Amino acid sequence: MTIIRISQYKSGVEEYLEHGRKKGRALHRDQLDQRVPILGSFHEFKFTNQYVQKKKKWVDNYWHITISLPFKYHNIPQGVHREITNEVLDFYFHLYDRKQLSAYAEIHYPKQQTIIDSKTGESKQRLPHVHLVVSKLDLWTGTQLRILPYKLEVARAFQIWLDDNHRFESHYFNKKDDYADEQLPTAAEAELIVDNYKLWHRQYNQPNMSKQLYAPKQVLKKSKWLTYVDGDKKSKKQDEVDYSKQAFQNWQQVMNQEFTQQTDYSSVQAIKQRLIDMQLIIDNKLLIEKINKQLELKNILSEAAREFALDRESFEIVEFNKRPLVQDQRTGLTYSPVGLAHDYLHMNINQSLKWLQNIAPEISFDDRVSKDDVFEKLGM
Amino acid sequence: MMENSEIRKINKIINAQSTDIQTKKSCATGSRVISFRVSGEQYEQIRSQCFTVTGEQLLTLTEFVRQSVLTQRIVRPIENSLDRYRMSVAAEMAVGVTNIVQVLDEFMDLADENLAMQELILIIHNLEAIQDKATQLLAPFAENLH
Repeated sequence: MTIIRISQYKSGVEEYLEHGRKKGRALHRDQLDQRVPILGSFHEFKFTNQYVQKKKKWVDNYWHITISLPFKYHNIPQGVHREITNEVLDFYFHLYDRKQLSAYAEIHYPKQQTIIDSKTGESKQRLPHVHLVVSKLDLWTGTQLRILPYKLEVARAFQIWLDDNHRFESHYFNKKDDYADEQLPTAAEAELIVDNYKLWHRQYNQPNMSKQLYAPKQVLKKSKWLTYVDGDKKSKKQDEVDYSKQAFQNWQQVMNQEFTQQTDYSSVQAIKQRLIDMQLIIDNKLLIEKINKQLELKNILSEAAREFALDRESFEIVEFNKRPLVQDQRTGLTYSPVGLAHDYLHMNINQSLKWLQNIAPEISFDDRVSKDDVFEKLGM
Repeated sequence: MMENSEIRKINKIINAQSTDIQTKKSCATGSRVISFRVSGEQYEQIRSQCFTVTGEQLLTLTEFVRQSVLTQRIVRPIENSLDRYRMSVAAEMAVGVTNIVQVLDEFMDLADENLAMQELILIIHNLEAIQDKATQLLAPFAENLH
């Protein structure tokens, strides 16, 4: 059951993604989630959004789509999240070439495991989810993009198709009583409904390259919208000076390698982190085995509940092949200490080892290979 | 973009239409409607001034004519095509990088512990270099100056 929420806004998503700022929320994004970029570049989206805010007078400037799955599927691989994101993007923006879009997506893996619902006061399990943001600007024409219009029947068919494609259970079929009066399509029928709707959209809503969607009057209000061939020589001269100054500054930044210090958020960072984790696991193999053998699981669970609001009651310590492990009673999945930190609490390997080191100061971590050692080894 | 002489020619056409111009007064606002005839060729000349080569309309024909006659002798709408071009190149680079990462990711899923780590690092280094160039490409827009 894939839940897709779509909304549109004028500004603020960059702040939200980077800092997690939201009304009634005190925690910073770094405390809340592990961000994993999976599509596009955050830097590029940010610039496009700034451009739209400055140049266009649109009611809303971008779409914000969130894609989430129930707890049952909370540990699906990153690749599946990416596939679903691509499918959602292709569904809503089927009229366009991907290169026409300024789109960016990242997965938020919860570090903070539970949160108190402000309305009910109940503790709620937080789940991994994807934030997909798409600027309304068509990069090729400068006009506004045409998203596939909402239609209940089609949205439902798309959900059914998506669930079937990834072998997820669909809530439409699980809660048949709720939909007793309605005839639900099979996955094959759902695909046909989606295709037919896209065909209709393509036939009647094909973007008209000559159609203007932003008001010229608003453009006219700007002082610099016109250039005059016989214009004021003094201001033309000033423009040239300003442009030269800016160009010089840009080149200085290039020469001083200041641009390379600005890390862009993109899928490259995510795969780099995965590679570092893989190398750290290889290099710390013996230490990881020692931790998994010697660390007291009870202490780890208490610390996880204290620091990351882990729902302690859902976990039990079980023995498997004479090895104590932590078991999530809701899913039946078992975790070793490092596995719990890395796979469940979504810390990278370096963070996991550091965290476990703090819990068990009695264990010697002297032979720990750090992130810096790996950086040096891999020439990063 | 048209030559200055051609733009002057259009303004001349507009100013020379006095004999064909009709006016109609609006009761509510006191504004007036002016309608005038131009030949098909003249219409195309005016129209081409309001659109980019990709068909994006920069301003309406009415606004172009109004500005030409009343405010400035020569009017040329500015398009922001250079900045949009820079953004679309950066976006295309981001799409390409995402596609490469996707393939690498799948490869890493299949590979064992002894996968070609050094080769993967080299590819990542190169991808980062491409990203840096994209960042440079988006360095302060000329438009930010005004």
